Amino acid sequence: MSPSSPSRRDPSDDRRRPPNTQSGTHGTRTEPTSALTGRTSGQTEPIAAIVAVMAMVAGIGLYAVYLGGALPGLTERTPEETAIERLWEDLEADDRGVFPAYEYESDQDAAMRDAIEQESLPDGRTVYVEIRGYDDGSETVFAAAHFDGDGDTLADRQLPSSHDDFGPPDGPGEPDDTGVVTWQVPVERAPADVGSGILHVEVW
Amino acid sequence: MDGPPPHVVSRSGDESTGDSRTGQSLSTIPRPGRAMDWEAPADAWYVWLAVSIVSLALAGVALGLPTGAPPDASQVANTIERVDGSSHEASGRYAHDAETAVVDGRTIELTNEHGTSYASLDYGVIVPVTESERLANLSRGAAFDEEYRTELADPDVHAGAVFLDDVADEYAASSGTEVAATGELAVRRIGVDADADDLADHHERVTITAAEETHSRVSGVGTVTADYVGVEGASIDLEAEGTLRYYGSSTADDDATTATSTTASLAADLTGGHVTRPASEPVTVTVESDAGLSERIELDAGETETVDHATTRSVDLDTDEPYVDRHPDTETYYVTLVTV
Repeated sequence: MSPSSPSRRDPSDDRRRPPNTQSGTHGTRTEPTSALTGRTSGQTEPIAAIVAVMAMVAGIGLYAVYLGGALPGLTERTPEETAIERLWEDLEADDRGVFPAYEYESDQDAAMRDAIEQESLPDGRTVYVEIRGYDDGSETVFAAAHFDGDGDTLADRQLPSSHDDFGPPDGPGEPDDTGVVTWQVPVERAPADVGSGILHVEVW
Repeated sequence: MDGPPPHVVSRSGDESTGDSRTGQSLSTIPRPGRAMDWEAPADAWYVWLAVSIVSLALAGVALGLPTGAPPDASQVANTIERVDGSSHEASGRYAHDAETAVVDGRTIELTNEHGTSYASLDYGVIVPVTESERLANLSRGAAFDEEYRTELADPDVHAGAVFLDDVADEYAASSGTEVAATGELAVRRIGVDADADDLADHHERVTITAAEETHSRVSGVGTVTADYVGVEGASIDLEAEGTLRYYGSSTADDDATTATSTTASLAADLTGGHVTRPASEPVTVTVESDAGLSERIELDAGETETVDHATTRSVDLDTDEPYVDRHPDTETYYVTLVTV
């Protein structure tokens, strides 16, 4: 109605202006407008806000993921190191310091059970003991014993060598993080015939 | 030439439905033919509320992330187990970063500002040392002969027995309680046996006197006295037998204990009874003490005799406490002391 309104403008200006823009109260000059949403107030651009928040969350998330891997966890427990010390004390012949393999040829389970003491085994853990070496050129296991974690006496804990589960777990689905330690020990294959063998103790 | 823009021109002064020409309020009126506006104006209160909530959430996530690792209880347990599970004397050290610890027999719990970790032992029971300075020095490697020098020098006290008593007190006081950790773990397995210390023999001496008395011109033995010098806390019995002329036998006895001293005096009056008459000599006197002295002598009137006795002492260290490990062959009793 009256030209007192400051928003009077030429019709020709309308033509030049892109069709989906709005104008503010100061009609004559064109506002910077966003091409994406067509809005003029940029600091509250929602897409920008969402992208910024997502970037921040992604940054903190990446940091947390790598932090979990970078912090040192607990080291592994090694009861097998103490077990091998105690077991060698039990198994070696006291005066000679060798393992008398010829005494374990018959009834190996009972012989190992007699030689090993209950206190030498760690509590609540399964232990597999093996002495192996070379006899007449071929690798033989001179003696082996397997003791479960639970049982009151050594006889209760022992698993006979004919049992299916005798030996360290090697089947699918069985634990594979057993603690293994081996020592090189002198083995007396026959009286006065001493060679080198390996004492292998596995605890899991 | 295009026509005028297809806007509704309102000149009635009605501002409620503004148009692009007269200006418009920042409202959310959806326009025809346009997608919905996702407006979040910066000066709207709900924008700031949402931003604050998101900030708080992200701040909580960032503050909840760990800044360090809890102490390594597994390595502490490995160190202790190598010493504890050995069958000889052994010692070990490990620098850890725990601030407080709870040690209870076979379980260890270490705490620092980043968290708590636990481990348990497979061999033996350990004794945490917090109060006794002697045991703390022993756990760090001091020699047993140095720390227990006074007990070893004392002939009446066995140092091994005193050591086991100290360990028993320490186990009762420190096991299962939260202790401040020094940052270095020191563990030592010490053995004591009965030969570690010697105990002096018990010496006892009794001096017996048969006092002569005369009644009605008859003389004989009246009262038998005994003076005992020997062991504290022993009880002594004195018995005297004699024959009263024409009246048959007479016996008298007395007993005493050396409660807090090492001397005692006894007296047995043979003339007691309804007849005041001395016993004819010789009289038979028996003196016994529960520390080992036992003697039977005969005395004439006025005679004094001295009896000596020496007993060798031994100590039995055997105990079935869980933290004492007895080696069957050498009869040595091992204890594992741990300073956290």
